[in-house]
Amino acid sequence: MEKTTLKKLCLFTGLLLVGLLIPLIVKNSYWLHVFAMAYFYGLIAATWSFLDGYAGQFSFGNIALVVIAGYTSGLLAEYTGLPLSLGMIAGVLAAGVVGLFIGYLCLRFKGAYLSLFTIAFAEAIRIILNTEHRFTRGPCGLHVEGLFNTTSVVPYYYLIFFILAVSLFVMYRMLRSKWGLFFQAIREDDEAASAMGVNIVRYKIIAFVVSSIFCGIGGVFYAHFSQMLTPNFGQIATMGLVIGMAVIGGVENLIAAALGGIIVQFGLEWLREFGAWRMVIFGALLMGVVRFARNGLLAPMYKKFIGEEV
Amino acid sequence: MADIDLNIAGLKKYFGGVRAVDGVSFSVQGNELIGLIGPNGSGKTTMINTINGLFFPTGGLIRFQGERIDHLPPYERAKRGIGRTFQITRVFHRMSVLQNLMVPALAIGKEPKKAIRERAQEVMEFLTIQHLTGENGGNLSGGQQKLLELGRVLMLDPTVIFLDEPFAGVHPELCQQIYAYIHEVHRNGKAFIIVSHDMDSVFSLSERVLVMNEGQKIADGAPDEVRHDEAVIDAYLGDASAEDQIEEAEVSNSTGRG
Repeated sequence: MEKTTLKKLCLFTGLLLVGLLIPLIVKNSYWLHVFAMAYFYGLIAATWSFLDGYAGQFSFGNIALVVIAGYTSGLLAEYTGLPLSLGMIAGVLAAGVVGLFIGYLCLRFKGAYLSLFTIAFAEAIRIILNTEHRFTRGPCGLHVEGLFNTTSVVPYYYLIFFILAVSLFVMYRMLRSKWGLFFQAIREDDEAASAMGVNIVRYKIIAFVVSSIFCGIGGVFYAHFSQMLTPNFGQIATMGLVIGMAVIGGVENLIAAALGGIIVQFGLEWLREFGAWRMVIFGALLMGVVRFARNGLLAPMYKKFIGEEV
Repeated sequence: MADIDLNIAGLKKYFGGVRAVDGVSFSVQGNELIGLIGPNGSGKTTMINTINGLFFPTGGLIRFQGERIDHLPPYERAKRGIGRTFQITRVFHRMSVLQNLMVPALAIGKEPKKAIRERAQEVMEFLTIQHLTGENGGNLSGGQQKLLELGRVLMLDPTVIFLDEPFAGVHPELCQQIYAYIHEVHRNGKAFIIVSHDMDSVFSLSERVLVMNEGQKIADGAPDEVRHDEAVIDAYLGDASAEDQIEEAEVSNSTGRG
């Protein structure tokens, strides 16, 4: 076995074991809830790393896709009586279809134009959900049924941990295949990539759809875990938080971005006693990372330990 | 020998009122080694961009191996065998040399990954950049990036290769190295169209020279014919350095330099 493969095996097994053991050590349901939310944010930060860090598509739409998936699942359960499992699948599919739509519309957009387009899209979704309050319950919030017949957080903890591990594994395998190289080539120079035979239309859309599907999976989990959806969860500030998490972890490294999401969310909860100042600390950290550590704090550590990028 | 047939007929590319390429026709039959020259703004790079698919033509036809390709996107043209390098190198900066080389071969998908890795290794050895395998493209010097672009186009394994200013800003020793690579690849059945302002290189390398001015083809023939073509000399009038270069190229070829 190669040395890098062995190191990766050690790292991933170690993380997996730690994750599995946490509920046996941490008995406080508040902190287990924090862990579950941290894994959720880790997943969404990873989807952003997948889309922007690898494929170079700077989108502000990930949280809007989370919201779309969550509301689809919640509203279907509320109005159609569809079984939860089918509603959840519909939620994930809805996110994937919307991702396909955005990817297709944004094919010719780069940089700031793509960002502006996705900001407008995310805001439109949030405003529609607020405005159509007779149907969505608007700012009062849509109650969504829980997945487990218990008040314990532990089943949710293991569910999101399982979702995170499988999602990261699938995205990691995709990025290690030729898709990952094509995404990076598109990120670096899409015209040159096309001149070298890369079907940039297909791979940009694949990047959007894959990222959207995993946002959707995160979204249906979030809806049924929090059991209350409000449109304001989809505001730009939440997306900014996700981007900040990925950037602090290392946007060009899927695993580092996910760990960034987990650590930052955990850190923000830990600093809750500082009130609004915790966001100032987060902002200062983000500014420092952008200025002094272009690929985040964790990605260089990952590279140093493993000896290669993801 | 590869059976190459690229046919350009009445190719036009307009940008608003600017007629960057205005009705150019020529063909490439077999593994020709063609030089493409012309003053600045004559439309050389725009023509390459239009043939390779980065621009869709305003008018005219492009046929490759008998198939009309002017409506196809660049990746489809690349898969059919049209490769190119860029005037200002466009290597993938945050990807390693090996990854840069693997992208085109994986994209055309003719070989398994293991065979592509082996071929990339051979290309790196051919271009003497094997010591840079894991280095990011953006960390390479300008000359090394030119070699990497050449390597990338070789990994695409096209039949017609457009090289846009391959000698610009390159040390003379490295230029000699690039000449040698071009000759060797050409011997293996590839056609080359080399755009360059370096008259010495164009006249010494090419079997045929195309000259463009103000978007139109003004000459097409053997280097000796083109050198004395009145329209070519007229096009370069007012650009004394270019005229001197034509003369200099004539002298250097007769003395066997280059």
